Amino acid sequence: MKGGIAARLISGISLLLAVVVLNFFLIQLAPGDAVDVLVADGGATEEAVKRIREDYGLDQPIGTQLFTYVLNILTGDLGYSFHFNKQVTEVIFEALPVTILLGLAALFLSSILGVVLGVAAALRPTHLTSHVVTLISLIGYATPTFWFGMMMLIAFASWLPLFPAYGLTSVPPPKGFMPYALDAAYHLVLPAVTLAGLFLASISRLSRASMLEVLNADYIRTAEAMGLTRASVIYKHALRNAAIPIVTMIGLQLGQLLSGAVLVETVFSLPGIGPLLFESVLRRDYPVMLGILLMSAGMVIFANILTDLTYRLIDPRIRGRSHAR
Amino acid sequence: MPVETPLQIAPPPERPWRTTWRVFAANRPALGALIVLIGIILAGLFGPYIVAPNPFEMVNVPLLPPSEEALLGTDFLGRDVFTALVHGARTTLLIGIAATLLTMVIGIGIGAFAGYFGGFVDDTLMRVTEFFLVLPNLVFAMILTTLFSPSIWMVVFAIGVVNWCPLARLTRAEFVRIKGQEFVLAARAAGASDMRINLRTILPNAMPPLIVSITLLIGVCILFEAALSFLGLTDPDVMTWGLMIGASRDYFWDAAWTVSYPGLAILITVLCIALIGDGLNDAFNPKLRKR
Amino acid sequence: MAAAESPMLEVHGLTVTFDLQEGDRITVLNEVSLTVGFGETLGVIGESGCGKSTLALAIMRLVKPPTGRIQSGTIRLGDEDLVMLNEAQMRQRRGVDLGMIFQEPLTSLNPVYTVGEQIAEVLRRHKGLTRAEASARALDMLRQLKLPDPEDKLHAFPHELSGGMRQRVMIAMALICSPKLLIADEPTTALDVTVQAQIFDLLKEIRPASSAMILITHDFGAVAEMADRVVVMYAGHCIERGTVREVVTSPAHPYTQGLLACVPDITNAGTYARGTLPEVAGTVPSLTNLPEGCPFSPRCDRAIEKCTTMPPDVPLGAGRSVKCWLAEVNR
Repeated sequence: MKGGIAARLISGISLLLAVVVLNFFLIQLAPGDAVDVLVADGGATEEAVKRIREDYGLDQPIGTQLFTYVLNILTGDLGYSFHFNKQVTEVIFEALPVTILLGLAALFLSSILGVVLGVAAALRPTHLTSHVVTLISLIGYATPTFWFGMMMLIAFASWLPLFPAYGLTSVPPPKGFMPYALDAAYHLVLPAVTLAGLFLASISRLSRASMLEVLNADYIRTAEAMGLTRASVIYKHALRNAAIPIVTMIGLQLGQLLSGAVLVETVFSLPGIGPLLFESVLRRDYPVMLGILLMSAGMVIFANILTDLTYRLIDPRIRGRSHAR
Repeated sequence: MPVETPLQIAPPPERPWRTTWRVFAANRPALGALIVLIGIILAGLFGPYIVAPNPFEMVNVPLLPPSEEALLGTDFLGRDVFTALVHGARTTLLIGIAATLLTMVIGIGIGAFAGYFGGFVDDTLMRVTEFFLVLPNLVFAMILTTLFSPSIWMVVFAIGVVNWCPLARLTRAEFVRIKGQEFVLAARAAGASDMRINLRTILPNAMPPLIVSITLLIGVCILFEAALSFLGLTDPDVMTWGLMIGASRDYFWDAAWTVSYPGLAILITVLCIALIGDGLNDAFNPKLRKR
Repeated sequence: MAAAESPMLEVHGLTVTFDLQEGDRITVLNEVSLTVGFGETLGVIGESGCGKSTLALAIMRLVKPPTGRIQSGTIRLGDEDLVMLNEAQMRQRRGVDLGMIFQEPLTSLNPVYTVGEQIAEVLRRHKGLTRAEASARALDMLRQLKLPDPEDKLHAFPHELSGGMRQRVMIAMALICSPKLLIADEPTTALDVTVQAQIFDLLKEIRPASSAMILITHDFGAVAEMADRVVVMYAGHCIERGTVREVVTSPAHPYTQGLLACVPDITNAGTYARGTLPEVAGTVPSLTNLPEGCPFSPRCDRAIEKCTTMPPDVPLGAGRSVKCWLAEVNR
């Protein structure tokens, strides 16, 4: 087991390094001189340009440049954004909490609702619930996230003015932690539901399929033959087995969640990574763009490792403990 | 004495594609979806010749709701929504298919090489796949668009580069599975070259799950293109459904028709593709083919 | 050995159907009747597809509507008719009055729980013991079943054990509440021959004396070893019944005769035509396409015209009968 974690960590770190290298080459591939790329239209001074040449070693051969670049990143220096006039790390970390909050809320909502719906549908294959799951999974799959967000806005912020239309908080934001938190939560409801919608589709579908497969397994027949209660058979014996592929899938969806968050935040004007990325793309602010790429790749890698560990916890067959035969 | 059963002449076995069609057609939602999709394709093919030729032309009063004058209303620049919708059918489908083709070339190519050759080639290619999977696809695609000046080929490229991984994995799995089967060994024993074995022997047998995947991939590419054009990261002179939604972002509040129709168009198209993909999946399922 | 005054289990006229996907309905068990007395072992023998596994599931009331359905018949265990009970009541009986062990122990045990946990759970469910008590009893059971290192095995997962050990775990689960009736559905088919003998020995030793057992198998050797009486099944019908001695030494039904003749006998090797082994010609009919009348008639070399209608159960003595016109005709 220990060997497992170490190997995964090493693999993860090497992947992250590969992303750093990718970033370097993206800078080289971008149209224009590397200096222009790194400065963009931020209106840097002569002084600043000179400093950039030095920091990035832009007069050196490519190999050295790469080395310098990687070294910088490793020391936590993701560069400087001339648009925001701040370190890239600062810019990103300001926007990150909103995205994480949104992402977690959506993940939570879609996972719980998805599993509940999927399991209910599996227990009653001919009932309405199953048809609802099929419908949701098909329509959820086909609906563009951003458009869904707009429709949600029209429905619940315009026709039925139940929720706020944009932003993280009211203007001006309420004072005090609790009022602020509640206000933010209120503003996050529609975006979270929008983002959750897409995953609800795949999670409910998978839950139903997984549960159906498990319910047909021999060991469930054994549990019934031993006279165990229905509740025990379904929730103790079946669900634990059905959970394995579901957990795996939820973990691996994080990349999709980030992409969805970009769109949802843009539609709902939330001050998260999404609009930040969009703005930096428009203005060709490479340090910020690539910083976001690196950070999101890091998050995906982290989620993958976490999923792997959870998987090992749930499924004893993977653990590799040995008992004398 | 033993009771005799009369000798029966069995009917000739059904040809495989005919079986596929039979099972597929029996699936009513899938069949319905196919009909609707054909309708959309026809609208895209011939529609632009029937409606006004330029969807960007300002033909009417801006923000007109759907009425006699404008079938589905107009947007904030006075452009006709219906015209744009029809033109959008052509462009959205074309871009979706082009992106799918690029994704196929990369994905199936890499997957086939990895699966067939195994060993070092396999390991390296799978590491590469793992790497690409770590980059969230929309984020990466958005960054890729900055490397070029806006055009539809840039969009096709971005979509292809970012979405090939699942297809590669599937292809590799299929190739590994089929490679181990005996008829491949027979081909090699007969002296066939690697390339020939790949193309003539393995690939045709891998087709069923690949066809289903590719069908669903078209839907994915259409959704992805919609996201990119919604964000405006595309050729501004090409009218697609995503572009329509993105352009009217500040106006949909009071003029819902400017975004609801293009969005519905995307939804219906991708839904049909998904139903067809499911139908094909069932049609290829050996258990369902026996009936 | 004749059954005691009233049998432990009496199945009468049991008919079970299955609805297939295409809309057909097949009859998997057709008017099946059998009895098992206290302390007795009844063998149920037949080829794949004859309905013997369904018989086991039907007695346990594990045949699931809407696809599977008990159309008619009674299953009397003691003085209760199991067919009349609802699901909640059956759950009370299963594991406690009736126990069952299955053919494939790897897939029949839950892979995510330890074997100790799975055995103890049955006990806790039915007898309300605490975890510690149930665990101790489970350990005890594993010892009785001669599992090496039982303390260790208690915390093992099914995939960590060998096939023979897993089957012992299944037996432990089925017997831990001392059920009156144990149904063993091909318990050794998936195991090595050497392990088979061990399992049979264990089954003989560990069963409470007054309990009954139904052994389902396709192997006459197992029947001869374990059973007191035997029932032969074909295409959903019980075509012959009697004590093991009676049926094996003087089989009355042409199918049974054919089956027994197929068992290669090294002492008779000289009588086999060179290079051939005896067989029963033809194949088992598909349940969707049963012949008119006696299901065996198309393969029978002594079929008569009457065989186009289903023969009755012809009694040949106490507890002995056969479903064949030839027996009726020869009386």
